[in-house]
Amino acid sequence: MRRNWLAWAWLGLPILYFCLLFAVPLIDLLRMGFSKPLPQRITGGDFSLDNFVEIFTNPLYRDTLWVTIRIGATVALATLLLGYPLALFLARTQSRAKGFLLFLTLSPIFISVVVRAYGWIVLLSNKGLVNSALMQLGLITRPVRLIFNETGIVIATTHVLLPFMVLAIMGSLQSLDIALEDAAASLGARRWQVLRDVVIPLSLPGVAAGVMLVFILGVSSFVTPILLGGQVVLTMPVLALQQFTTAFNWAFGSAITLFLLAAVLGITIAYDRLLQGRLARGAA
Amino acid sequence: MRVSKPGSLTRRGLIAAAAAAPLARPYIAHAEPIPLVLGTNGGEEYKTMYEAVYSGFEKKYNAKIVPVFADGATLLNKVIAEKANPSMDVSITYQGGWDIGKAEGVFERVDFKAIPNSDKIYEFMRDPDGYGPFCNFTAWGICYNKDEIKKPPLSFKDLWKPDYKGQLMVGGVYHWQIHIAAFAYAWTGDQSKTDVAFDKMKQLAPDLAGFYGLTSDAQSKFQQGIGNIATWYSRTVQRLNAAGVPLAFQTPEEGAFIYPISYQAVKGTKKLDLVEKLMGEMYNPEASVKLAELNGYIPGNREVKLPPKLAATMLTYDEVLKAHSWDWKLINDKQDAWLSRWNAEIRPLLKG
Repeated sequence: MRRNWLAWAWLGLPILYFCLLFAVPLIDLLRMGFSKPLPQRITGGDFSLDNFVEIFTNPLYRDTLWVTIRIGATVALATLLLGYPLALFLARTQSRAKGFLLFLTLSPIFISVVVRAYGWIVLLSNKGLVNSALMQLGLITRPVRLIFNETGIVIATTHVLLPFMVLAIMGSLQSLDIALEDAAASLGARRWQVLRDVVIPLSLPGVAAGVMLVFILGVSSFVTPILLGGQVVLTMPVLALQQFTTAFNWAFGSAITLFLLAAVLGITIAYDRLLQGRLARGAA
Repeated sequence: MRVSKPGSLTRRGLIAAAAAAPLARPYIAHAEPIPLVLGTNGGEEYKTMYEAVYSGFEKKYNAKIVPVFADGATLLNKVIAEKANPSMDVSITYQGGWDIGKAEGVFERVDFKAIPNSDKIYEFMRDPDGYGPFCNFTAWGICYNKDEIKKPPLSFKDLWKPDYKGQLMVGGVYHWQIHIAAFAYAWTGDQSKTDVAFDKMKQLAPDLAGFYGLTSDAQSKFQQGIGNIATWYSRTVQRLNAAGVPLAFQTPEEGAFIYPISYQAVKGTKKLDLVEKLMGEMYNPEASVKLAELNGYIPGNREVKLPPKLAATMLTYDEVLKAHSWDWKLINDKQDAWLSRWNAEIRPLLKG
């Protein structure tokens, strides 16, 4: 009986934490999002759908949502392409340098997001290292525009989110029974066939988790898009931030945030259902 | 009877001293500097403000400034978010922002007479509703690199001349509203005729050298040579000259705009008297000269005499009186709609 009570108390702590730090602010966000913006005031007035009417009727918000999803999806794809081989290597290697390589892979997380973004600006600007090197190699005759556009945002966001993809896939690969790969090889499968027919299909849950995690983090990031997108590329978090910090309209900023939340939730659920169906069919 | 020598320690004296110690505590407590939590801009701005004003204030009033660093908009959002339990005593605010703070009821009215030297400031610096007056201000007009631009634009309208194609930087986030109102005024004589300003911005946008976000962003872009002209603040001339960029300020023919800064006491502060003293310290003649030297702020105290060389880089008394004020009620009312329009119409024409 006492043990049961303790277990509930232990469970109660994270529930309380969640309620205080997520559910309560979310309810406040809902209240503000559905309030009427008032001139010269920040927090909005009575219940109103005005903010959402504006969002659904003004093409700016639809276009911006599309840009945000496109950036999130591109980053998820880029981290998957870069992260899978890296995760496979880290999961399989017996090298003594494994710890160091893992540290290198995780290193973007240890650096401040602002410092990292400015680092990319220095590297990718017209007079930066990348353009200078490409020009010296004779590959280009004038600088390629790598920042203040979507390219810059994708490059910098891929860098920071790569560890999340690698960790998700690595966890999945490490839980695979190596005997399955040996069995496939003993039946005559070549290494690439083992990879294609055994390793990749069995690591798909990790891939799916990584893609989802990176996509969600990608669409909700705002420091990198602000700094690497200049004033040119608008994403939904940047739009929301503009409303909070330059228009002082928390009501509309909240509505934009809720709209993004609903869109991402919808995409995530759809993706999850699609994937679950595929995985179930694969297992059958 | 034993007579102790003067200055010697006796048991009775020791007991008396111990008994009197609690009585001395208020004095000891008073000797500790009184912390004043100030929301302020960080970096070079804080460094120069500390040197010119805060250090003298701390000494004079036995206070200790505890800074909370952020930009003006973030500080205002913080003050409003903390309305029920404020963590700051005073916060730097910019006009427009402080009107919103007043409407939200997060600022405390001040006793104007309790602010040292406040009888010597320009009349327009007083807040009509009894809140903190302007503490200092700068003029907004045209800044240009003297080495690169031999014939500077003399008016806002000149910025559209082909001579300045690829040279001009204007403000984006945090500053776009004042551009719309100022350009509307420059082209029509009326800040509210913003359709004209948007049309003019569309013409200008593809030919811009760049955009600046925070004020410091424009500084680094001038230093990097990304642009050589900007619609910017007169106070930045000093700082950039010190950094080796030969920047000059041109008061446009249409008149410069006054960009004021105030320190607002946060509602609920228990140190209002100290906040008023801090406001007054901005008008202290010695601090005003230093602020002008280090930060380019035009002294609000009309009796302050600047060294001639420094005075030559500042707006004169008459120029200050002739300068315009933005219609912040109009800006605050319309900025939401303008932002949407800016994002839809101007932003796609920008290069970064």
